[in-house]
Amino acid sequence: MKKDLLRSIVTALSVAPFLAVVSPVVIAQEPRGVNPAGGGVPMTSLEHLKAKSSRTAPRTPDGKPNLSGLWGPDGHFIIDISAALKPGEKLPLQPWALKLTEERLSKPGAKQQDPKANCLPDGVPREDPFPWRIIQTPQLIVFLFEGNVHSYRQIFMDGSHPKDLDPLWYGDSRGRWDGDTLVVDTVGFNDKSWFDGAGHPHTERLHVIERYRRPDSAHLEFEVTIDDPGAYTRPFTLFGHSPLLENTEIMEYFCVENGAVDVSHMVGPATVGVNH
Amino acid sequence: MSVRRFFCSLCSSVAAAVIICVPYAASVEQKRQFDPRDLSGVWWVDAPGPEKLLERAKNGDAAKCQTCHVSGHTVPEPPLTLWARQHLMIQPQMIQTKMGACNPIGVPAQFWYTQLYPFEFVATAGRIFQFFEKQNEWRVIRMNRGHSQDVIPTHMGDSAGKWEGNVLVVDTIGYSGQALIEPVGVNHRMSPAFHLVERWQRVSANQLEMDATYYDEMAWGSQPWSGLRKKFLLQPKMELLQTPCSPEADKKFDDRFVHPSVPPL
Repeated sequence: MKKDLLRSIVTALSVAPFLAVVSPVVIAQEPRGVNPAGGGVPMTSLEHLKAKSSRTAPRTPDGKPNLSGLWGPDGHFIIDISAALKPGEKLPLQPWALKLTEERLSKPGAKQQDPKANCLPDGVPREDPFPWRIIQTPQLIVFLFEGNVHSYRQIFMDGSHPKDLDPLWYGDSRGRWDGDTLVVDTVGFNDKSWFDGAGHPHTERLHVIERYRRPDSAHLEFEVTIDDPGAYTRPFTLFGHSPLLENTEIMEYFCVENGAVDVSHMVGPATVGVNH
Repeated sequence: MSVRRFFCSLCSSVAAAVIICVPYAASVEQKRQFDPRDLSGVWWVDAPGPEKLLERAKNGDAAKCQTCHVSGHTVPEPPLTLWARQHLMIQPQMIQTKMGACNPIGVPAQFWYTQLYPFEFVATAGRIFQFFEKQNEWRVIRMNRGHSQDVIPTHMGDSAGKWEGNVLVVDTIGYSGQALIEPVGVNHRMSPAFHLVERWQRVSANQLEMDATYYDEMAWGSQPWSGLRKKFLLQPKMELLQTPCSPEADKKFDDRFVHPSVPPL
């Protein structure tokens, strides 16, 4: 019991600084226990749900690694992707992109321009402080999101990108297996989403390659290579991981219930704490 | 043989071949091997079809399109209780507002939209997921577990599924009572007592049928509203499009179907 209490205190203390920079709307949505009105399950509530097992990663009947499961978020992909770079690296922002990010970080009310604040999709690779689920079949892999938009992203495993793509929030994602690694190639993005709460921008020239691995049953590792010659001087790679969550489900959370009202209250700039 | 006679003979042969072969091909398609318990794939309603609705919009007949009740009901709605008339009624313009504001749709209202947007079933261990193209909503049907004791009221409700023979029976309760039953033709929302029972059956390799019954004691007393029947065709090469609800997505829909004066995209 004392051990559990100590672990809870340590966990709470380790998460506290992170939560201090989470957007006000996220904090406002944190429920005490079950929230009948929805609103998602913030990541502070997920600590006790993290799977402790380190068994071998499961496989599907066709021998592929089975990535299916409910996964927790990686905070770096919520607030500031530069924290997901290798130590010492910086985001290679072009001057206009750096200027825009600085404006978003300093201009009062800039948070209102965040698509997330308007209940629009996150795009790639942005995450939310809520669980997400992978559904895996041989032909199709789906990422289910609890929030910010209670929606889904499809990764088609049986084809190449179509021609004449319309610019989309999640782009067009095509997957393949490289050994035990799921490689997802995505193009066809619109230029509206922010990479993170700090407001790092991108253009429609964005090309994202994600590589997902499940080293054991309880963990998902991923690398995200961003190539956007319209906003960055060179490609760069982000590193993340997600814990498997057990004994829980994605809750129903429709952003429109809260966001349409909350956005007018976001008078501050984008999230601070960026390491350019 | 004259050229004319030869041509007529050729036409007759082709016509005969078509008459014989088309039903045969259809019959072969009907008998193609399939797992009746595998509902996986993209499905789209076979009639009246989005092409017809788009055609109506092009012809300036979108107003009719928006008011015609083509949801697939085979029996009329039961009379509303006095309580329902006092508490559940919604003005038509309010319905438009709710939909335009990207409010969640949920089931069964999503079934109405299958006239315009396809959906997809994906089966996993213990769960069947249903993905709707309209607003990119999804729901999960948990299999063989029944409803949990403490269902939290939601827009989508809590869906429990089981197989009765080769019929997937989906029972949904736990509604928040805020959702529309259908966006057109039903001028009231559901109550928190709404209860939906769907029966899905794959009748051939490429045909799926659904029969749904609505129960809502607060709205209709003990009388259910049965007889919602829909037929869907498998779309093997179709991928669901990204249509998350946003002002843009709504505008595109409005431009195509609500305001036909704007050229279709």
